[in-house]
Amino acid sequence: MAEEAKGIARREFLKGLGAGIIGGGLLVTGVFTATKTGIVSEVGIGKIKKLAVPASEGYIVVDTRKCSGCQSCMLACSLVNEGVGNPSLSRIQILQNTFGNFPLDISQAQCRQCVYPSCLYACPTGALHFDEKTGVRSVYEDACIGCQRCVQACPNTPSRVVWDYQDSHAEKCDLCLGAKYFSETGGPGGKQACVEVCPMKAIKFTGEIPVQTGKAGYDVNLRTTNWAANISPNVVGATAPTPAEGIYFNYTPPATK
Amino acid sequence: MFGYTGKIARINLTNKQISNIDTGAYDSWGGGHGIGSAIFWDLCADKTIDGFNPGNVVTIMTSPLAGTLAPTGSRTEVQGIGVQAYPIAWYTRSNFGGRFANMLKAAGWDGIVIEGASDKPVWLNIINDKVTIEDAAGIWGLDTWATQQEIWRRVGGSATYEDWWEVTSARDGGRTTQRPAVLANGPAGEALARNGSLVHDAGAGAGQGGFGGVWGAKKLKAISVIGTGSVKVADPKALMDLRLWLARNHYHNVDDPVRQPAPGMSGLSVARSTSSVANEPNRVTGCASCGFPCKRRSESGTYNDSQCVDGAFYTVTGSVRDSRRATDMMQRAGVNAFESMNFHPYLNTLYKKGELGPGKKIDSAPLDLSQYGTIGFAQAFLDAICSRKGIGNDLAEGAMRAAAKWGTLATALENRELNMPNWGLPAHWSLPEVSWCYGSLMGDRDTNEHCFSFPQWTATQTVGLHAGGLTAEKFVKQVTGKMVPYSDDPFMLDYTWQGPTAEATGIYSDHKAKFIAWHRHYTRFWKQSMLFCDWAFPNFINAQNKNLEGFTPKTEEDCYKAVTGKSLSFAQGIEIGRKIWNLDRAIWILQGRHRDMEKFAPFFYKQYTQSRAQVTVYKDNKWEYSVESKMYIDSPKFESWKTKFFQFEGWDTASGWPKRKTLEDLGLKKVADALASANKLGS
Amino acid sequence: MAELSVPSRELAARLLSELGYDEKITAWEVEPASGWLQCYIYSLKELANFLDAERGGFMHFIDPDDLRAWVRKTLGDEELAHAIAELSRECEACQNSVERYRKEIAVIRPIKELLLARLKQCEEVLGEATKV
Repeated sequence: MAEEAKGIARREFLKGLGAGIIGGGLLVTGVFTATKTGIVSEVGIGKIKKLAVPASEGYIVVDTRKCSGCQSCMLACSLVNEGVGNPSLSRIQILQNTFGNFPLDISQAQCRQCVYPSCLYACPTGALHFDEKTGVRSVYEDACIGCQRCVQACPNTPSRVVWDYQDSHAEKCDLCLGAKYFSETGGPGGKQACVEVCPMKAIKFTGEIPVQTGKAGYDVNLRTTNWAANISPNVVGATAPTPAEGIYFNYTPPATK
Repeated sequence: MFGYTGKIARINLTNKQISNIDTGAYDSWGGGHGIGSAIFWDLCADKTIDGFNPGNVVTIMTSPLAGTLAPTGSRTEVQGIGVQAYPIAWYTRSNFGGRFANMLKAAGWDGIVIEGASDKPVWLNIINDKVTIEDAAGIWGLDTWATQQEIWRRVGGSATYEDWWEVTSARDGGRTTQRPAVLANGPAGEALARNGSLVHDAGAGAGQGGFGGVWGAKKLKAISVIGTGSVKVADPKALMDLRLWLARNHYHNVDDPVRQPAPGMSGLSVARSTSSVANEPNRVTGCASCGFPCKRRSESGTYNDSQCVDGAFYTVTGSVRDSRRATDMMQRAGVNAFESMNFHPYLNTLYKKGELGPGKKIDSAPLDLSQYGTIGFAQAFLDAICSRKGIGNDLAEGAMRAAAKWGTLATALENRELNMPNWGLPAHWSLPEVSWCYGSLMGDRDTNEHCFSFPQWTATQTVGLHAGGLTAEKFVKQVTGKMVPYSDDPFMLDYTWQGPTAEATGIYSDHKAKFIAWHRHYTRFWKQSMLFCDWAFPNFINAQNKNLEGFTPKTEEDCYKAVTGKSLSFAQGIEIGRKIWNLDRAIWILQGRHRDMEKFAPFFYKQYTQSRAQVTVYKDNKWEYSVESKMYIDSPKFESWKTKFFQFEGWDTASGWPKRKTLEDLGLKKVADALASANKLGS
Repeated sequence: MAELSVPSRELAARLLSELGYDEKITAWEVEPASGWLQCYIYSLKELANFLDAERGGFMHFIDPDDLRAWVRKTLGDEELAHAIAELSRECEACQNSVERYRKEIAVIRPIKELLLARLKQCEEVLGEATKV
């Protein structure tokens, strides 16, 4: 029942707005604000304007060299947010080439919660908004009209705004603020499914705005000595204890809890 | 349906017909192997045919857990009449990891069934619901890696795989950032090699059974899948909770482990395995949904995503780098690593004996055995198999059939020149871990199930390195305590092999019959139908848990329930496993299986210096660990054990054939009728 | 490590020779997943190179009893066999099979070093030309 009601509300909205855009031929570049109830109000339609938005209180950083490409983060993301297993609906994307050369064989593509969020500016309805409490950039899926401008506006490749083709709306990482199938409290101050599930600890939450350095921005060194002990002593960026002589029974491990 | 997508693609390569099978008609078999065997039973009219016969039915099945976050349920099970085992190439199985199963589920399919044989080389192209049979011109002849890359090009078109790409021409036809998952047949399979494997991505492969050769006979080069759909999960929150419970209590925390695993340790320890010592920058890689990735990709791109016996294919160069290069050659050729790593040393043995070489009884051309140990020899060995030129024509028949043709087989099995104790498949942890060799002989292949060896390794290596280790008594009680429904019998783990105790509670006892039965039933359902990874399940002892508590049986049960929404106890799963095991047994019996055939190679009954492995023994009224190094099997005692095992399974003790009551109690009346018609029903 | 006396030219040649099939020794390549792969070894040099407590994730193992017997009977080097026996004395003395196995693994490296030292002696006796 709840889903049906949402659908009707959205269809009515689409109908009204569609008439406005197509009929009027307006270039909609303004910003809507939206309340959490999904009621949208216009603040800048027809104007070319960038509204200052507060910074997000949290960010996901990754270490692409540490990532194993297991897609656990992708499946956890679609699971806690959509209740299904579907990498295409994941707000974090792991791209990989099995025949590639380390470290270029894998890239992790997570939303940066940009300080100047192009996706949010591009949204004609305010569906793509910032959470008033945390600043997290998020989508009111019911308010999305499916124009995909946010998807195209994302400056990163692949776009961090995900197009849910099955339900025809945009979606994006909200740091699990709105995760419906997550026992943990999400969002800044809470937990994020991808961070928690990653077996390589290659994804981390931070409350500080990471340095934007082009494509490599938000891709940080999360490698620890213990991790290196599991990889090899000479992996770039980490030093591991050298195993003592012998292998199976003579190995002296580093100090353990 | 939760977990299942609800349909299985049925493809007839002879008449090019494509249809659907309703998964619901088979879901009582669980998934994976269970559904595969049930479909094979229904669709393969004559089960006595050769694996190369167009009538052979090959199933490629997933688990209901695949495509979800369920840990490791992303393996793919391949079944059909094999071409490898000797003297009869049994109906068999092999499975592989990677991301194929998850992609197949995302495309909306629980599995694929291949029937018939094409008149010209083809590949299958699955894009969500759409399944097409494509011309393999330009792909046939390529190695497994080039095949996959060419198919990526053909399926993706202009896609760079660095961005979202639409898998159809419609806006809402589905988009993905992923490459198609391709299962490829190599040049070896094209040449109908009995040691031909199927390879997915760089290093995942189905090696045992010779399915490369089986596909070759069907003129099938590859199956490509790209999917963008969802797998429904009954209780997403519970599944996520389970995964986090595992991560926090049982998985190897790479940054802050509870116990440091020793190098060389596999299973539940991130990348502590074959590839653990890398001499160049590399990363750990894992199959889809894995919680403890174990593979590697390197800066040079060598040995990417290979694992386990792949790394042992050709180590005789003495150079780690060269052995890894040889592994890549083997993957590209699509050759079975496990058979080959035992086969090429045998060529050298015959060469040393003066029986093989230029002008010798066995002409080795085009191979030059004086080059054995060089990287060049590895390539020449693989090329010979793929080309079938000269000695290659014999090599492609596999070690047993080649030796039989050369007249050297009897000696090889008498003297352990071919270390292949059961059905022509190589020894593994076969002794002293009798669950391994007994299970292999009662089945169709090397079981390759590390259920009981990894706990021993954990106990000796990881736990043993730390204060407060694991006593043998605690080990036995904890392991058998999880072997529901027989959890009250610690003597299942008594590996005493000599003296009267061997028959009372040791390796020839009723306890061991029960133990082997549990193992066969557990793996048939939980490991090969739910497709939990062999390296992680069952988990009896867990070094990353403060109390060493393994996550079996809770995880198996909870996973199944969270994904499918159906309650199935661990023991009920074991019972379905028993049903599957009996169905498989019936197929082998139709193929010609009889108790009298179930004997190890002669060397197994002789005392040799043997592999060492720690086991538990009950001695002087207490449990202790023991490392057996000179163990062998006593033939009369083993025969008496077989009788005990057949009794436990409800099979006729004289023939090893299941009785009607046993089959009917399992709901297999049709199977009993078929065996009766063939005069092969146990009495 | 025991100091071995300089071998005769005859013994040195024998120790450096490539052996025939009937003179081989079986060693093992071990890995937790793939199990024990038996490897036939056809010379002392091959064995010395093969033995490694760890290489590429594998353990390379030989039974000290088998090795001692092979060196004595097949290669005819009593002194080397004795030195191997000295190194593996603790293994033999061990009643507990688990402990014995640990010690057998621990002794692989000293044995390897002993074999390498013996091979070096042989090469010196026979001159530079024998170096491989």
